Amino acid sequence: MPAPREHGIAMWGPPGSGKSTFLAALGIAIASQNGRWSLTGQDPASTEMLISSTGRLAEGSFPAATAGLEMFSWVLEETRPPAVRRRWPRRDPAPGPPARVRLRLVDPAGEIYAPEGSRYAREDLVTTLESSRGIVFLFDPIREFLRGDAFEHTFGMLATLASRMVDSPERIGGRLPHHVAVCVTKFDEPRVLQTAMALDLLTADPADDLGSPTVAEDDARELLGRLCQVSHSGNADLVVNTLLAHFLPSRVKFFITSSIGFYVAPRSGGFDFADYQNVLPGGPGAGESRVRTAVRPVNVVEPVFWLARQLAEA
Amino acid sequence: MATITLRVQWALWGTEAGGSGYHQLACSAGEISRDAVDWVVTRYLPGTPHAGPHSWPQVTIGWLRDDSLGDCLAVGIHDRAVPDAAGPGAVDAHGRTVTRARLYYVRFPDAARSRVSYSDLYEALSAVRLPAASPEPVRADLAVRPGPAPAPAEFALRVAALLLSGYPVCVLGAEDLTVTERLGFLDAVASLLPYGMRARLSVSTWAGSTAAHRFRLFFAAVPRSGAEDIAVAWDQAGTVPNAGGACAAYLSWLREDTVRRVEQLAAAGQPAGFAPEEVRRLLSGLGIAAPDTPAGPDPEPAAPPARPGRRRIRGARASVAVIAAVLLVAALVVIAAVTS
Repeated sequence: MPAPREHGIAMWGPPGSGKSTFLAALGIAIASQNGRWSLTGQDPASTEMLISSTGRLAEGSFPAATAGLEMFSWVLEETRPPAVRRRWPRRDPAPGPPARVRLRLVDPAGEIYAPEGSRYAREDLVTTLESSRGIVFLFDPIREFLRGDAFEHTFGMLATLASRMVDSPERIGGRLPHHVAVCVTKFDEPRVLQTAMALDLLTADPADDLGSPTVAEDDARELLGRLCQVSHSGNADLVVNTLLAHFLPSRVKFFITSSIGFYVAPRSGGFDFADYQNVLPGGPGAGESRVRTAVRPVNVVEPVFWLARQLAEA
Repeated sequence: MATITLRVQWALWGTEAGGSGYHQLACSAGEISRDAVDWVVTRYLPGTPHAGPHSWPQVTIGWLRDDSLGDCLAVGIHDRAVPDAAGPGAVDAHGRTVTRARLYYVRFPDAARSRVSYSDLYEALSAVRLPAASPEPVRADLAVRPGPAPAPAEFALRVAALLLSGYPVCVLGAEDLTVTERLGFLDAVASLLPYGMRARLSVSTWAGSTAAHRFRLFFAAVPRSGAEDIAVAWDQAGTVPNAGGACAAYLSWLREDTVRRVEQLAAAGQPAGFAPEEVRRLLSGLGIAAPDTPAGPDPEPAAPPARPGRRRIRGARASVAVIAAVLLVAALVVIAAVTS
């Protein structure tokens, strides 16, 4: 078995945007892909991380708030059934080797992206971003509506990264070489789902027997644009513009995601617009937030597959 | 048992009830800078407590050199945030469990004067609640145990000698030990090094194996991902590798008369670090002749984090300059040969 190609993928987003939950949901999302892919830890620490974060989310608990920088390696591997020999025709054309990509993941505490974050932690994070070639950029529309700080969690760090790499031979046309999966999170929140519905962007997820809604990748940017219009600070549209100014537009792709997916009542038969929220919100006085029922990630595996594919071809 | 009183700067780090993101919540007025808190938190956070049993609290001892405070020990007591209407909440605005850290800054000369142990520090500081009622530095009364301590076991001897290699050492398989027992072991190892090396030694009773920390000696559940730490099994001296060179020579020296060596080392309170030249100086001062041990990756550069990207670029430019110089010399030789 050839050694997997190794690529660093860093999570980017403010506190509470769902970076750790996204990674925890990845294991569940891949497990629901009919066994076509597998996700394994590259070493004991990474394996423990995979088991504990996935297991905790599957039981309905969200990950603890990340403290500092967390780094681990998971291997994403395509699994295929054994080849069947045929007498006639002699044999199907030999498929290429199964894809196998090592994801060197960086999950930082969101406050490190803030301008007032520790300069030492920011220094460490910029160093890891510099060596990464993939970024999962989480845009939390609810936080943006309430606080409107996505731009300030983006611009400073991006400017620092660009400055650090200003002489890098890997820059392309003056832009950073990373591939960026922009994930609009919390699709399961009513304000996000209703905005998508108002724009007539909802389609039924063909892979979901329960009829859960989804937004096609081609429509994701339109929904993001509309969500940016209700930003608390009014400058959310600058986030997209800043990303497209620093990265090649062809290397930026938009996804509408939900790490936990929609609630589907047992024995109900399918998604119900009258009752779909899958979070039992917590907070001061209310304890920990919990997942209401089974986790059914929406568009969690797709951004990672896309990044893995882009990085494998690079 | 003697009692001494230390004047301690402090900071509280965590999340307010209903807040979002970790940050400094409060700190003592005066000498401690926000930068000093950031420095300690970035280097000596033990990590995110994921699922599974954890030994609470987690105690970290790091170090810093601050313009105002000079050489300092930074003692961190990391615990689950407890519900408290007036202070940090048990969960943040997103309903996630959060931890909080009480950080205490002790001037190293004050600690060295009385040869204060990690256990002594923890015992005294764990009783000091933060935020303090007043922003003034707090006073902590320490009961300093009289020496000599029992001779450390072979496992501690080997770990102490291994630290001179510069590699971080990770102790596995100690899940059943209490915080006090872990601190006892860390003290035993530290007692086998000159006291002044505590000014550059960072230790933790627990560290996450996916956390990007910079501890030199720490307990963990599994080896750290992608790090060059040396993992050893708790209390199994046979699992501590022989790094040869200076480490082996130092280990032999320790074994000759361990109790006397511990007394001798306790008296050496001048701050000293683990860089190869400092280790050479240490051995030379003790009269130990030994070849160098190949130096490991220093987990704690004294300066702020290096910038490998910039180093590479400078390296690349230097290489280009060398190649250009070689080509120029070659061209001159050819021209000289043709013209003659």
